[in-house]
Amino acid sequence: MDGKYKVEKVVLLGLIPLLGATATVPNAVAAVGVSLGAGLVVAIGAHIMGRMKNVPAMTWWMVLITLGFGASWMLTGAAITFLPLRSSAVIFLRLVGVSPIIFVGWQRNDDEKSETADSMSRNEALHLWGLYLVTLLKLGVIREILGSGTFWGNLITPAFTTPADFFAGPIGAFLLLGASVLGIRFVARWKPSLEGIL
Amino acid sequence: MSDAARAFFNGMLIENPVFMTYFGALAVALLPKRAHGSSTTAIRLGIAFFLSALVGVALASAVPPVVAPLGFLFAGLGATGALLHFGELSGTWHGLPRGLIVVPLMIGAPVLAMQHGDLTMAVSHAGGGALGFVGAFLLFGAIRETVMVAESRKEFKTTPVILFSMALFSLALSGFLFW
Repeated sequence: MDGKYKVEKVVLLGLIPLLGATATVPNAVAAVGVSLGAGLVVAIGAHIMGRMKNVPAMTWWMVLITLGFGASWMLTGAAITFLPLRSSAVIFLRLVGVSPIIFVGWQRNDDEKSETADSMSRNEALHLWGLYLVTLLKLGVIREILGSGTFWGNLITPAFTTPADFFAGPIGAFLLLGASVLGIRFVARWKPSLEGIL
Repeated sequence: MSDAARAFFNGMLIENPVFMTYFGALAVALLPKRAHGSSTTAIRLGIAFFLSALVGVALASAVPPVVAPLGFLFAGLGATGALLHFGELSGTWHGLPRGLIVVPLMIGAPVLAMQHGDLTMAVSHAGGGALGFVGAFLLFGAIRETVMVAESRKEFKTTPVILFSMALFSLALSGFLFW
């Protein structure tokens, strides 16, 4: 059952930004922007290198990692300027570009031809990307509302309620991701027709 | 307690690279399959983590701040390359090389250590972090092995129980305070 469902793959491939950059909605929005930017830079790099002949696997991946890391490091600088980010999220945003989710679907052409058991098509990679971005935003909203009682910094819960602040920290992050995977497994068990989507 | 000792214990517990700062969470969730036989991989990863932090901080300190990220990148990729050279992380995972699982950890190690000021503090913090990572790796090897043979519904096994266990460990570690 490990890695059978797409949501579970997304949780594992994007584990570090999903845990570290979703404590608030602005953090999650920044993670979406940085992920898209880094993903785009990696895609362009992979496209250019794909036209070259005989690029060794080590060189291929080192160039893509360097591009992803450089893009996320620079885009985080821009995100700090425009969004009210928590300081604890900055380090995770800077490292979004080296998360495995950024590189899905960009295995070398030679690797695709070998048709290894766990190779991934571009369509499946796009599906995972969509789920990843939705999961980032969903976690950001849930964690900020439950953990701080606010949405984008504005108080939305009644003043007499006390937020469960562990949701904004590591405990809530792990719990919510674990609950997501568990929920998907139960839903897929009761509705097997949803397996292809989930 | 001296500053260096506090940095060491903070790195191991309060800022544990698996449960509190997350960079090692993916490696710990995926790599250890059972307790027996995980120790060699855990120690190699721990040493690579420590050396990556050490080299990355030294390089980043020696160059202007604008090019410091290149130091982190060089150290992280070097540590990952060394692990591949010693036969760890071979094969693929979802079409990606398994080495990518530890790249965020190896690049994150010097970035985390660099936040602690001078080289002595960074080394102490990285040493504590490496020990904390090795402990978590071995612990989750045992948890995974126990869960595999446990009489529970298969929906709970592997990823959910790993993530819920990490939540419990982060709850436990958030109770520490060193001064």
